[in-house]
Amino acid sequence: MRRRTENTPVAIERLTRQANRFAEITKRRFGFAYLVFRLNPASLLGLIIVVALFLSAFFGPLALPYSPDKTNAPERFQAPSSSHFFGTDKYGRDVFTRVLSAARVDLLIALGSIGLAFVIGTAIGSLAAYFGKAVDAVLMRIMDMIKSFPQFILAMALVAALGPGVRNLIIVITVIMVPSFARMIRSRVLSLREMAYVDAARTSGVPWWKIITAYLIPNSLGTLVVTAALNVSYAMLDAAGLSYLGLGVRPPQAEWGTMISEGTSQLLAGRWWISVFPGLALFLAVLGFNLLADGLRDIIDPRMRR
Amino acid sequence: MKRSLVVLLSMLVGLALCAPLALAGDFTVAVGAELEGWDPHTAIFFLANEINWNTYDRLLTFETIPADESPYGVEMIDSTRLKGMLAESWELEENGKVVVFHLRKGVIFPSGNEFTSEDVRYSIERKWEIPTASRWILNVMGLSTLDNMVVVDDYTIKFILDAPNAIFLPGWAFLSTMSIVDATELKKHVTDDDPYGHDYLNLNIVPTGPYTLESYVPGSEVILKAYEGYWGGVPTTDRIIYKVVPEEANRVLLLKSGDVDMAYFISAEQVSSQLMDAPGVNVFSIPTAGSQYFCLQTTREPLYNTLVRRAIAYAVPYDDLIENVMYGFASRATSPVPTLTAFHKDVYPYDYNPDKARELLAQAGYGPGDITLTLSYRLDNPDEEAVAIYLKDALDDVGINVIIDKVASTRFSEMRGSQDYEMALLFWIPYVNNPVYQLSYGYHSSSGCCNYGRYTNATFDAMLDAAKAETDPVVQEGLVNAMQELIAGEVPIILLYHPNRQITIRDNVTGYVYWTNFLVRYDVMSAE
Amino acid sequence: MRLTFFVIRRLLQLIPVLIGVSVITFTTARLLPGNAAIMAAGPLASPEDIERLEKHMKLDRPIWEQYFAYVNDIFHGDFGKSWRTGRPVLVELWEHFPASFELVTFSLFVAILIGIPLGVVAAIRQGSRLDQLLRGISVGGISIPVFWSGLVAIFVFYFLLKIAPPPIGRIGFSVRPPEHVTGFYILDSILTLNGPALASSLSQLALPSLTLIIAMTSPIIRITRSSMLDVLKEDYIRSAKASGLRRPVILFRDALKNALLPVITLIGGYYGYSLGGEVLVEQIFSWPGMGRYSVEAIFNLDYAPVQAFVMLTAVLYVAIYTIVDVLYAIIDPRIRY
Repeated sequence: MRRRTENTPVAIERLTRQANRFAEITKRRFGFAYLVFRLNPASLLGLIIVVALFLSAFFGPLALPYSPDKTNAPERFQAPSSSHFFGTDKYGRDVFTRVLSAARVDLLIALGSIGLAFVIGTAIGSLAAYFGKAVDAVLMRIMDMIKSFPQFILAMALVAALGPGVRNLIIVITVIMVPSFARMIRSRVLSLREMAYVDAARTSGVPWWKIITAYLIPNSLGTLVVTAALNVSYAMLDAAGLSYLGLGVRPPQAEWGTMISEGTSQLLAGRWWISVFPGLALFLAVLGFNLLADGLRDIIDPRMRR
Repeated sequence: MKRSLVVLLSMLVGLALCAPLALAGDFTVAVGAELEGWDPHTAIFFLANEINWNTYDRLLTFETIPADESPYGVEMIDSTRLKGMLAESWELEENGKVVVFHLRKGVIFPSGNEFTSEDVRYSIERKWEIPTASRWILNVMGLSTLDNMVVVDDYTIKFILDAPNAIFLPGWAFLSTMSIVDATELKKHVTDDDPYGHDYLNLNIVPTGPYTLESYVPGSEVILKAYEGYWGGVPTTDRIIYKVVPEEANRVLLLKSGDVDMAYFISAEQVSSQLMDAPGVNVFSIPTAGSQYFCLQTTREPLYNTLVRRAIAYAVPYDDLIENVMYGFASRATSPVPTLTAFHKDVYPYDYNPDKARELLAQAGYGPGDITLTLSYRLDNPDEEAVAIYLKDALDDVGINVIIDKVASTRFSEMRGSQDYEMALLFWIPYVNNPVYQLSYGYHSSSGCCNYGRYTNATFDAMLDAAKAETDPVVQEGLVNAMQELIAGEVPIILLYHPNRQITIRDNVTGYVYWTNFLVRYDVMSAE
Repeated sequence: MRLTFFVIRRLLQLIPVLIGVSVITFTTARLLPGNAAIMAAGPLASPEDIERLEKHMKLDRPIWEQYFAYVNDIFHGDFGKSWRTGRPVLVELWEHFPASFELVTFSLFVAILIGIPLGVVAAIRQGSRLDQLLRGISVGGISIPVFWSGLVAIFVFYFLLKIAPPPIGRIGFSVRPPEHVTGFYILDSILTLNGPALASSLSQLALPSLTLIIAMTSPIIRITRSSMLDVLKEDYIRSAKASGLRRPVILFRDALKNALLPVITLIGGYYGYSLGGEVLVEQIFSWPGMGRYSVEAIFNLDYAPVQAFVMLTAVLYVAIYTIVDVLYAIIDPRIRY
């Protein structure tokens, strides 16, 4: 029983206004976020770490005198000193320079895969929720399947299949991250779908893709951003873990997990700096994103807080 | 509750005080990988082969050179002097085309069965018939069909080869896959599903040698126990305890602390920094005939061009690699026939000379940055990773961009099948140290096992075929020399170095004998 | 009646998931590049040898035929054999299971003992210094990469302080494993009254479980805290307070009992995931568990163990979630929609 009534320009304008108000509320919440950041010291710390991470990733390697990748065998295995803050590794490369240079790759992998998972997951989740029935069943069962695998093992098998490398790491981590996004947006859209203005838009002939992109997704953005922020840290840990097993980037590219793994055999020879510093960097980066995500969640969507 | 805790604790303390440590007569070895799948006729992993090496005998073995006469301070085999093991003697007939083995009589296996020619026949039949076993080795040894193995009587067996074969006799001494199994015992475990007892033998042993299997804990340890009735005398080591210690640094520490008598697979870097001066530890560094090299894809430009290949050969800092990757435990490779092999000649004209490399590249029409090449290596090989990283810098220096491709061993195997490498780091260790065998692996356009760069040269093919069939050593040497010169000029592969083998062992260990296949026989060793 | 219906429906829903899991498992394993026959044949094999082996391993058949053969075998309880050892995969997984089980169960048990009380305390003292401290610790805990904290633990406790045994697996170097009863070293050494083995296996367990406890405790603290906070806001707690019941009684009899539900869900999922998923910790401590086993299998293109392992852990995971769902439905009938 469809209420096919208000298909007039006036009605559409009213609907648009309604939707805009929703968007405005969302925006205000984001603006509010800025204030709360200042109030929540932990999240502020997270923000600082993340910003510092970005800055050092982009400008750090430029400011340093050493090349991250060039070998310099005579300088190898030097303990931390004033000329090499974090010491040197078995190829004589400066560990500090490499830790900074690795930040680029690790950020690229984490943000790249989360970005892709965000887009793909949003598409899948909103389509499933909007159309329901068979579409929903098929798409969400596929998500369930991916979820039901031991994720790290699945990722390992996939990387082993595709071959190591930044691009393949991004693809694989995207695959294992998509279900979280799809589930999250599906539940959001399910509740929004029944809202009066969406219903009205549908009955007044606004095409489905426009409803999804113009009404449903913008109103789920907050939830999505929180999901993304939470998952960046998982993506980072997964990428580094895979690299630790040798399934990571191509040498001589620096990457934290790979560096930790290179230092493993040196640890018991007392050369702790080769693995401890990259690990510390990884820990700080993940901590930064976690704190930031916590703060964002408190502000944008307090109900998500488990 | 509390009281039972106290009882438990006191029990712990009490028993911990009388904990049974390794017994005298035990020999403990720290190994780096799983010990598994040790059917001797299919085993491909080194450690599985070592278990076979100690639990089975072969027909032949080698005389040894005592430590004080050997150049490396350690007793080692003399691969030119064969001696009987389960075969007491052998005769060559028809110019070496037919080999007759006279088997040792009165050898009783641990099962109580007596050794006969049936054990030999059945072992070779298994080697031939089990799908996972490599027939190729039998073919290389000159056996093209099972019909050419003839049992004469219980103690005599005859092999009719395709042609006289230099590898046949040493193969019986060198290869653990030529192990003789206790056929009578094994046949009790044969089923319809498992016609050669392959599954059974992967987990059990039907010994014919000095040791039997005592226990096996998957992923942790294997213990072998001496067989008192061994025909060669009671083994001096009562038990061999293989402990799996995957992390190299831990194996080093256990060796230093004396918890193990011997540690396997210690990298040059760890030997040099941790073990050379460690009290109580002996390190023997022994040159080998193995070659570390990288192949070049000769079917496509730019590597099709000999000038480019020569340029690369001049761009490699050989001495730096030996120093920085191998910590000096290696020697320059100066010919496709290694220094330790007969007929070796220093034919390799290439030294590190980046200017010359740039010049050759320019001559070939390539400017700096015009060439980009992919260098592949297996991700589980840290030494090759180091070589790759240094090579990249060196080739970058002469204007060749290198992309390092770290390949899972799985994909590496596929590439091996299709021979689709651009450049790949590879290692070759000859099972038989013979110049013709050395030359036959990687350069012949059709018969080589490992011509990964798909090098084709009709002259070389003809010379190699001639050298294989040649029986006159003088003519053969002439052919081998010509081939060495040819390969040195053409550089289808870049030879980097011949790595040494480091034996890391406690200094109270006696009786160690170095085999060029690296396998260790414990029955004459002791760690008293 | 409606409960039975719900359970049946939930079980039916499992069928497509399991089929999907088997397809994904199979194709992923087959997608692994490389030729298993070449791997199995070893370096000394001719093309003819490899061809013979491909036939033997049935790799020359069409892929769908291989898939149906695989599913058919599974229904007969046959998960195949590892080409490296020639042994049935199930037997091998079962041999590696006790190592993973001991490590994960022990760690999770300790993590629960620490995490739940701390979570409760944080909730009761919401906003206090203690709460903030615990919040900081738990964010830190989920941010630590286990493969790094494990290494640091080895470096500090084994290399520097020399109070931990070398990280070489489940039992010390000079100690014999206890006689095989169940395969669980701790249990076996108690059953056979083997003091040294018990002492050694406990001390070998210390560092890897410390590493895992750090990682596992944090999420437990977090979820206990937030779940406890939700419950404390509920009306019945307020009315209980108003009716003058003693505080500890309210907290532990009423609040905690109800707050535990989400905690159990989390722990259940975590348990299933960890039993098969602690690859990195097992790798660092040379722990001969299922994770390490499957890593070796993946690197060696050993299809059967990879398939069996992924398949079984997926089934385990699905099973745990189904059980949790059904438990929920029993406890809270509103869920049975």
